[in-house]
Amino acid sequence: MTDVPMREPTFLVLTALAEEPRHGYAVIEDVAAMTGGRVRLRAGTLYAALDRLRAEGLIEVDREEVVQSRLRRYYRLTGAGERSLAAETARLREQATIAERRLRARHTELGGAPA
Amino acid sequence: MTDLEFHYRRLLRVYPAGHRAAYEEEMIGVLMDGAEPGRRLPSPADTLDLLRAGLTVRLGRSFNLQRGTGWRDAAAVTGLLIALALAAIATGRFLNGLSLLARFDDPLRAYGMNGVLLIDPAARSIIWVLVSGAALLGLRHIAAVLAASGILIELATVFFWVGVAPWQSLRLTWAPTVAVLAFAAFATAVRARPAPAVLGRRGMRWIVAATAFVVVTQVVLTAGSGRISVPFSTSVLEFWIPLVLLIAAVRSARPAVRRRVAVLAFASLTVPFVFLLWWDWTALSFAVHITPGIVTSQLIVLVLTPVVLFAGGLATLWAGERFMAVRRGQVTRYE
Repeated sequence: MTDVPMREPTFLVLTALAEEPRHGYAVIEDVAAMTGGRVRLRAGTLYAALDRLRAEGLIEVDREEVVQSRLRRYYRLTGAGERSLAAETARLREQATIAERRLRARHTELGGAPA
Repeated sequence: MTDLEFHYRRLLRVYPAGHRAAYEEEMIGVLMDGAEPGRRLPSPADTLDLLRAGLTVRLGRSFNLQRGTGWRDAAAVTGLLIALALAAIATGRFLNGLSLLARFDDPLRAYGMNGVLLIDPAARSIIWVLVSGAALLGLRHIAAVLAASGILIELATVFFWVGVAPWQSLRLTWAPTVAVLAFAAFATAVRARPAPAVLGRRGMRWIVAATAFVVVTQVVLTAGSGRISVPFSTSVLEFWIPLVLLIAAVRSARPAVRRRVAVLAFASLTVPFVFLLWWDWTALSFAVHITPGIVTSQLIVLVLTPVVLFAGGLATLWAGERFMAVRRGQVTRYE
């Protein structure tokens, strides 16, 4: 785990796998649903992230299935992945809190009028 | 297989074989699941995404394979070798100047002042001796900073000679080029182990022996100039024996590092030979006046020589190491 902030696709992939083990296409669908369709991961981006996360030990293969003669590999979060996602969530929350506080203060100083 | 799947598989060839073996079937499944019904060709967005991601994996993998293989350590040693070579050349010229002054009462006059012609070999000697000293003591940052000063001094030397002897000035341009290569090596090696750690005590003994041999040879040959004669070319003493001693030093590094030192040092230290061979042939055979064409072509030779030599050395190194890896039966992460 490093102190470098996670890129959004990485964060979203880990979040998708935090609920339950998912295969590639299910991760894409879940990310699209979570973000209201704003982020639709493409296969190249997804598998670059999955390969890297596997190499870093943040996810692992849960099981494999063959559906309509196509391989489906399910991935799950590891303990390290869970800790990494928790740390990133805390970091984002902290930053969001600071931003929220400053926006509120700015609003108060300006007497509620739009600047 | 549908047309769409065929095209996806063709696109996936941009990935390395190991990556395809691990993920191709899975990716095809995802791509086919995500494709709109009736589509026969991959969408431009998918095409770009796969090309970008595939190339990134390829480049990243090449980079990762080279990480930790000793390039930085090799750069530390190469920087030291270049600095020693530049120091030897500069001190040789400086001692030769002193000898001219002492033996022939040559005033070494330029720009209306006596002794001015000693300034540039003196400055070059000092800076490259300091760089060598810093590298020998393992002071990586200081060696890099001093090497950067060495570039400035070598450039100043070239400009100094423009007013004294323009042809000589152009002939000297190999020196700033090699100084840039020395700086590049030291800058790369800032995060590496210092040269003494890479070469070990045995290697450092050979370096000290080579340095001592050059110093003694230069002093004896300069002091005894005209009185001492050797039954063979002085290049044996001034070049070949120090070269053998330095090769012995590099042999003390681990095999991967010494192969890389060979590539880097060859690409750097062959520059003066190639350039001077080309320059003397051009200048002595064809050129009458210094023209923009001559200056441009010499710059091209100076830039291309290390690049081409390095590329050739790199290709040979990779081919050799790949061959050895195959013989040892090593496999990639994906396989």
